[in-house]
Amino acid sequence: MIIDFHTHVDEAPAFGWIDPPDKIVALLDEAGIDLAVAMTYTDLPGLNPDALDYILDAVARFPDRLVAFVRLNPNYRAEAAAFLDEAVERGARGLKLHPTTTLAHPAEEPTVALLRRCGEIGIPVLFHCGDDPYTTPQTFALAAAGAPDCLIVLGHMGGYLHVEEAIAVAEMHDNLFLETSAMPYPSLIRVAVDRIGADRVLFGSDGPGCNPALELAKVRQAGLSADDEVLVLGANAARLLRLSR
Amino acid sequence: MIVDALVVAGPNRFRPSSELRDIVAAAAAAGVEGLVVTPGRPLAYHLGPANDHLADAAGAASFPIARLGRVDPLCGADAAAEAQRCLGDLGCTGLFLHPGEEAFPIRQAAPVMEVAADRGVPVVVAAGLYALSEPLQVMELAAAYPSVPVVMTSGGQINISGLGMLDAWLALQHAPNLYVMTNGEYRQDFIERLARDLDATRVLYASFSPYFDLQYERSRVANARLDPAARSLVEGGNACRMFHLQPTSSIKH
Repeated sequence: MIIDFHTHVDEAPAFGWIDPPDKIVALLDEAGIDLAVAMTYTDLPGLNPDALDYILDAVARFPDRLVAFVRLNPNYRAEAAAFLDEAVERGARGLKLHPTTTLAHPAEEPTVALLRRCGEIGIPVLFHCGDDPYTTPQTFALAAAGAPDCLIVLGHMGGYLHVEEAIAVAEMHDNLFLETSAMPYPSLIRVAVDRIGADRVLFGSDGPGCNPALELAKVRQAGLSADDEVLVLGANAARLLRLSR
Repeated sequence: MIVDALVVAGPNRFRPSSELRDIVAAAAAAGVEGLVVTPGRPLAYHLGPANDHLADAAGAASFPIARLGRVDPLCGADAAAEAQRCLGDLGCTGLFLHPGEEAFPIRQAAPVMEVAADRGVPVVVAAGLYALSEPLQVMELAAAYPSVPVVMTSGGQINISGLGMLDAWLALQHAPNLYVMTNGEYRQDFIERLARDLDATRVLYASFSPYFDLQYERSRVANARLDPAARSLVEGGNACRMFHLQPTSSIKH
């Protein structure tokens, strides 16, 4: 089973993104991907107060293809925490945090409090991890130390310029995982697997802006063993999402 | 003809060194039929010997190859002289600037740009580098030399949040002599938008290997949804036109 751990569905004219769920599902079909973690572009509370309904409705339309993550702004503290509990109760299986859009530092208390809560209830957290302040691997190392029971996935595994650091912090913290989307270096996926183990590297596409078929080809180009590829392309995600099928 | 419009060959202080013959073999295996090549920065500082080394290697290759002379604008008059030598004696059809590795902000490229304007050749800029070659900085350079085609590598921006993407788009809109390469552009829809809504004649497929993966960058463009006319331009037509690359023989010096 191939699982894409990072896709988006949303209709956010302010960002110029109109990506209803049909769009990503068509791309999943084209790429031969069975299931995808889906999240909005907008954070709650925020620009679209109906974002939770939107993502849950999208998943309800494609229950065999999409799994919902709720996207939150930790700076809203109590409101964000309430949204997290509501989202999980209504079927969300994880949390997405994007410090570039929320300006919530991963290692500061509002975010760490949410991470600890996710650790308590047993859901993973996907962070945007890239090239800007608030999103560098070192920030997530601090966050991981502050919430050791939370499984934290570093989307883009460091982006263009911080991949080596992402691998290094994952070596230091067992609760950090690396997700492959958008990062342009196939060979570094193999390096990550060799250094932190295939059970902590996950395939993601960041579709539909990034094409899932191309992102999948990148993982296959990395030259992993067959067993490792099975883990990276889906088995790890199934474990984190606690999928029974 | 499919042309990888930028690879870096020879001794390289910053990345694994690759000899041109090995790059040609890898490119041919990826279905590439022509190359535009510039030298890496060698372990010793001087770029002149690197330009010579590449000229010798290209002369021995039986593969369509165009070359870009690499110069350091901070060398002032010596940079201008080296640019002239590359374009004259060595038969280069363009110039290459790497503001990161030679450590200069692109606004200091004037000595080289003057030569490019005089000789009517394009200048490829390693773009998207913070404070050195941000897309709007490169736009200002292009605007100052409107007769010089200026080509940004890396979609004009290197930022996984995509925060430089709008600047790249605006730069391309405001400077008609500004062009862009596809390497590392993680948003496929941005590549498609460039070809569709900007101008397919201004988008060049390039890997910028070894900084980016030669095979994967080929897949990136092959996978993009381009109409046949746009694909022909992006995958090689623009590079052939811009760098005077001939399909059947390498350029000799």
